[in-house]
Amino acid sequence: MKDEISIKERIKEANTVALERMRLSRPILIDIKCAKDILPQMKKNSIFHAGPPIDWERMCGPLRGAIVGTMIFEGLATTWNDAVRLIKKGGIEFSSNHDHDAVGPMAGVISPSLPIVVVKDQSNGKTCFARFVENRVQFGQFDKESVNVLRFWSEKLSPLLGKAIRKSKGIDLKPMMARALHMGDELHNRPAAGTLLFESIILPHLLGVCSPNDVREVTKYLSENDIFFLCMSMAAGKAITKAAHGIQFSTVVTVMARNGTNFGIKVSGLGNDWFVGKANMIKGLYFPGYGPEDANPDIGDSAITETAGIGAFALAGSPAILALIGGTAEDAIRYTYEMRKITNSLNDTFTLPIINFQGTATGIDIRKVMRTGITPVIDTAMAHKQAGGGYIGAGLVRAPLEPFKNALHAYGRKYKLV
Amino acid sequence: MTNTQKKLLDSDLRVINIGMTIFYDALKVQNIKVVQVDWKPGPVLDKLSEEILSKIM
Repeated sequence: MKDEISIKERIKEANTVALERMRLSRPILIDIKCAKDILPQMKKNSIFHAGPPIDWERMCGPLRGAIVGTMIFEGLATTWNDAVRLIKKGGIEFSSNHDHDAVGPMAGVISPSLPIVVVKDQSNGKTCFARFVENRVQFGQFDKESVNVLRFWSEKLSPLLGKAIRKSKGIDLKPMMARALHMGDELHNRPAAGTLLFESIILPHLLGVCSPNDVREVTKYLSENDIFFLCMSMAAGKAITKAAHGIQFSTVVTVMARNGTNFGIKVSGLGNDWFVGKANMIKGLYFPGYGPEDANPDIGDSAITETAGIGAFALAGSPAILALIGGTAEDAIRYTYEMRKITNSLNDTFTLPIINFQGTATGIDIRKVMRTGITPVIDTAMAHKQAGGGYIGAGLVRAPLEPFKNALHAYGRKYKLV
Repeated sequence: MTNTQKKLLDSDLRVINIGMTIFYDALKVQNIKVVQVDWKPGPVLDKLSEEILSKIM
């Protein structure tokens, strides 16, 4: 009995530390840099991707499509067949973004020449990274027009934004995110207010370092791509959850990510091991001409937003997103409250006016998920299941229970409970 | 029927619904005062999960 009390107390203390570190985390946007210049393990033939590690044979269509599109962007291939030949010869080394402190939306593919967002956590000095958000390659498209989106980001947008960000001496993301939540974002599928806030903050710095034509081009892009800020909220989410990672005995989930085949989690007190289960199908709304038979299972690192206490965990404050993902405002409030049953605290920074400025549920606990059977809710976009099929809709999805069960079993073994 | 039972049936209904929301929704559209309590039974877990949870929760 004495030992049992002891382990419970240790977990309580460990989770208190984990949540305090999440609370104190202060992600600052400091730069945009080429992946090969900032990710130590990024080699010339590396491709990093969303979700837990997976080999080519088991990858889903959209992930394969995004990889081929990115290989064409890198000059490693000119056609689908070229790319697949090189992959099957073992010419590409695949790795999970999260295993390099990075995150990417949907397929989330990061390659050596692709510029990525750099965020430094002022509370601990650790650095995290995020791929930018677009609506083509990350959904598995690899045609010329899609590859050109990566080129535009790489050659035009990121150098200009990078200069402005460096000029700013760093942009504090957490207050912007808190403000965006009060402006109707949930900062996963709806980061529109965040994008506007970012635009207003970066504009003076852009004016200081770019020509008027360049400023016009950047601000036009930001005005037309209100999903842009998702890469910032994902990078910040990664920094916040990383701050809570690696605490002995903690049962707090620090990663949730999907590769379109599997859903994987990491847990603070369980080292860097992945715990995986089959990715679920998304329930939501489809663009005209598409239906459930076209959809791929859940994919992307963007569930790092929910892991950090935003995204679907803040759905009550973002009724406008329901037009994209379906459901009612009452459902949104219900989900927001329901997530309290599987978390350890209410966020002191991310608050929602609609529920009297109470904080969002934060700090998913594998014990509570397993005891209640309630798994985290995620709002997300949907990709076509075939490579090249693209963006077909958005909706809500639940994390599968299996990764939490696997993590609990590993916890029992690690801490000698069984 | 006792007086208490009769009194209950004669008074306005005030309901606490536990679990499935279909009953809550049905009462609400009939303008009956109803409060919803979200609850569902926990999952039936494997033996190992139960054993570990019993030690850490």
